[in-house]
Amino acid sequence: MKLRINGKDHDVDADPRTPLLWVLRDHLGLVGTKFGCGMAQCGACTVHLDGVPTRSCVLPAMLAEGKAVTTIEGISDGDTLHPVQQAWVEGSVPQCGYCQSGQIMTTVALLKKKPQPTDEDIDVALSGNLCRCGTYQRIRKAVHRAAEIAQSGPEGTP
Amino acid sequence: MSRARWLAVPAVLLATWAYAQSAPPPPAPAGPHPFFAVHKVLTSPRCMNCHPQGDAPLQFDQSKPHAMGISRAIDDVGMSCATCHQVVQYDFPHAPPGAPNWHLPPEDMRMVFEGQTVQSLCEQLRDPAKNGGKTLDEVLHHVSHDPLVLWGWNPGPGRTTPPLSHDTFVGEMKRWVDMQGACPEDTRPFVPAPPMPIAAPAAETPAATDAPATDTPAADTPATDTPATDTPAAQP
Repeated sequence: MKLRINGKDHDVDADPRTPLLWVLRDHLGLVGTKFGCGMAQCGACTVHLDGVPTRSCVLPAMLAEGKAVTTIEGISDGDTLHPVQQAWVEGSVPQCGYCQSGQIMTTVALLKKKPQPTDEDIDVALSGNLCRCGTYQRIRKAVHRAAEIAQSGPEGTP
Repeated sequence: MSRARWLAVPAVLLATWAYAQSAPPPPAPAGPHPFFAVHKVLTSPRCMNCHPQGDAPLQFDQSKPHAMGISRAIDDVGMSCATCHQVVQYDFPHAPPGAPNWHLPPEDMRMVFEGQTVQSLCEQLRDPAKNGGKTLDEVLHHVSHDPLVLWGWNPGPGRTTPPLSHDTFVGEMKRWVDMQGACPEDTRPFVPAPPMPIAAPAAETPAATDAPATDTPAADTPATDTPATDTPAAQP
């Protein structure tokens, strides 16, 4: 399979039906994307497929061929963190951290569509990303902060 | 000769009249009006759950509002149905069902099935201004071939199928299309059809004495087209 992930082309020798999550983690070493429930119910495995948040645990890798896959490893600009990542660090959002890459990927897509989201927008976008630590209030605050950071400088465009 | 000619004129007229009388009459439904059967399918959970009255899709055989607050609004925040509903159907329990192009009807063409009477759903489905701009033949083609429609008869574990087979459903739709989309007069309040039973694992099957009574109609049996009365449709 030929997959384009974070702007780079990869030749992957895997069963085409393998969930994209396991191709990312086991074949390519991109372990920032997490396995949670394995059935698209928790959001921990969220990546972008052509910019749309997608649950990689139920996506056969062959269906990602010809599309642009973006993982948590691909959203920063070198050493410059993405505004969402900056806001997450600034607000000490993660507790255990396991779900946070999925939360961040969904937030990145949200801010592309709604640069100044309301609380209701955040609820709609992120209600499918579960956090067993209950960091939801910090997540919501950080989403608003990320929007501010993104608006404040040219390098901070999500 | 002349007399014979005069006799021939009424003979021709008589023959013409007789031919006219023997011409086939306009198509009339044989048996129940086909849209009763069509309505039973379209208001079953597999079809109705994505044709809701509100903005939230429904789920499960109980047609509950979708978990996690999912609604049409997800499109405005960068998500899509395909975030979770992939193009393939998985056979393991609890996974979101999948089929190509999983989606709700657009906001400006809602094509609501939920709560529709037989008559109102029929009138909606034959109206291009309310059915997505389709002719009756295109409606028939859609329900015959669209992968998302066909998914309803292969919905994965834990989900019932519509109360008629797909072949029977398409046959009833064709009868309806052949009638130029004529609609029955029936405005009885909508009552969802009972879902077809799912075969439960033996260990989880309740004892027969504990099983609730059911009068689920046999599959492929169109609903009656008894004229509307004060009595709601005979569905539990």
